[in-house]
Amino acid sequence: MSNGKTKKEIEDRLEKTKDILPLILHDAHITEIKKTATVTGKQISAPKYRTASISISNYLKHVTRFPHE
Amino acid sequence: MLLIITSEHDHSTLMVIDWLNHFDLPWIRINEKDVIEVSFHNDDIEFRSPSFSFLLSDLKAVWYRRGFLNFKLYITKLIDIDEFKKIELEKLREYIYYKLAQLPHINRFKNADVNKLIVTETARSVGLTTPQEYLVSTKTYLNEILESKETDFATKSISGYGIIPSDFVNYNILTKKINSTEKTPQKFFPSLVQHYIEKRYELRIFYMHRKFWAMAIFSQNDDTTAVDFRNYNDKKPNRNVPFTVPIHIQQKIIALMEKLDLNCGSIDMIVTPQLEFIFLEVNPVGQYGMVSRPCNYYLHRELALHLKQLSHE
Repeated sequence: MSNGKTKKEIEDRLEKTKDILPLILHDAHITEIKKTATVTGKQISAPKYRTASISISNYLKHVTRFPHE
Repeated sequence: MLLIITSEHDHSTLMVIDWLNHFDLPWIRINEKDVIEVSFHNDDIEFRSPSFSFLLSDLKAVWYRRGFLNFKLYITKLIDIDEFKKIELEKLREYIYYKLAQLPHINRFKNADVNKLIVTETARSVGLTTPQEYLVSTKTYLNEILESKETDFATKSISGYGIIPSDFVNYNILTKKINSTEKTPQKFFPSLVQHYIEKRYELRIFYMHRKFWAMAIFSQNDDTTAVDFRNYNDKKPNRNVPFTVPIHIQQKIIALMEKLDLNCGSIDMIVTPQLEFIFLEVNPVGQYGMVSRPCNYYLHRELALHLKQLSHE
């Protein structure tokens, strides 16, 4: 759901409002985000965040990846 | 000291910071989520947040990676007065960006958000070839365009967005071919329509201060990535190889970047089966890890070294 609407409702809404949408949103491909990930393992605390001359990248490298990276 | 303006989740900032530490270059990082206060002392400006405090005169160089400076605004709850304060703050912010841009820098806030339409026109003015493009808002005009040439057409967002994220759904708005106008209404929101260019391969070029690091992406032979390589095929990734940009194209790109007043950015191009170089776009705050890693360019190190040079350390 987005803004309280289901995927189907969003698709219907997009179809009905084509005359005010750019072409890129005509018949746009919509994917539902399934939040299936479960947290397992032991909870750890992140190092205290600092903003000067210290890097937390070594920590972050192990916990996350970002688009294009 | 080097000032880094970035966003909290930008991974490349962390990678560059690792190298800055290695080169012993002192730095301070401001994320767009950091709320900062400024005060003025004679000709100097003091920046303060709960975790740092520094003076403009402490800075030797600035790396504007992405994001913005988020200044604290105390409100009176008198709407008109608060609106006025916002306007005043905006002018102050502008002035501070101006002062920061007077220091040696990689990119700056003012030029970070380029307009694709203006960039395309500028690219043509320096002799780069770009896809023929049209702004269209009626079916009649769209049909005229589609019937005028024996070529395919594609539409893409004007802003360059490839996805509209929300909490529960993603709207995929990557470049797509226009196959039919049967279901298109008579009028619609102004849209960007381009000749669809056949690719031999795509180029992703990282540019910094007249230097080039380029990668060829063989995206054409995969149906998933043929129209837009950002529609990644994770199971069978495209082949990516280092690429040397021909000198005559380099010269045109340098001219373009200078006209746009950009000293760093990621450039997308297409090389056609006839070996024509077609310029698509430049993103001053684009990602470069995707070029660095497959091509062993160590761009994070290059950036850190360049920042060290700019800081005269």
